[in-house]
Amino acid sequence: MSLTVSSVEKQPGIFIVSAFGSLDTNTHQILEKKMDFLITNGAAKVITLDMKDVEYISSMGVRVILKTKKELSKKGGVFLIAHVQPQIKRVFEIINALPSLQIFASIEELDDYLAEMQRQVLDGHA
Amino acid sequence: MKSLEVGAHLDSLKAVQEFVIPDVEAMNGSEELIQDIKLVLEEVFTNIVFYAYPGAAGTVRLTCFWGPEGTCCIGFEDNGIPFNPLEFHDVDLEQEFSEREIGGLGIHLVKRLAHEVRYRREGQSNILIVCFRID
Repeated sequence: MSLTVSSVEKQPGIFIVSAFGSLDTNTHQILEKKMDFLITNGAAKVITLDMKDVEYISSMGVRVILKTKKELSKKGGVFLIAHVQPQIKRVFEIINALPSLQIFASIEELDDYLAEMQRQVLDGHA
Repeated sequence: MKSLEVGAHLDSLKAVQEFVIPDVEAMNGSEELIQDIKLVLEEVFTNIVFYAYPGAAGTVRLTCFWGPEGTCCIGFEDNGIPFNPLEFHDVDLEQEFSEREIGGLGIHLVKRLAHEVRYRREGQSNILIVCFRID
């Protein structure tokens, strides 16, 4: 199976990356390149990986998620995940990644979180 | 018992999965079991590709057979350097996810998802057998 990846910038520095397919040994570099690009060239502050259409993940896929979270937090950014399918949740559970990942069940939930985050930033500047 | 010999490179992964998965589907294995087996095949096979033949080409011989208690077993045999993946240091699962080392995750998944995993060195070969319960 293959992987396709697309991204939208919802607000400056706030990206939603949507992946479709299988995040595995043969495809993980597609996502890795996209994430590297957004962090380095896109000055990303918040990246949400929408996994609604990702049906399968292997340790190489997990590696990209781990790396993205690391790189973003080094730059003071935040990494979020939306919509996790059962196989992926199971893998996250086995490697005990769930406590460290922020996973949203819906885009509405995510939007609320982002709005709250922005409100806090604005308050901070006031 | 059926067998398949493939080159130890990532392009063979699809053939490895196609060698096993249809049999499990034919046994009415659950969707979850099929996903688990697919993942274990990928983790074990890529591990061999990355570590067995440093700087050289090699092959992997796969076997698929029914084990005791109706388990579905898959054997991986390579002639690479001696390597027991089960002795690979365990991942520190208590550590914050983003602080962790990247290696070892795949083997951890294999140990947790397979019903049984056995390794032996026989002559010049590494033999790893993973078994799954089909029920």
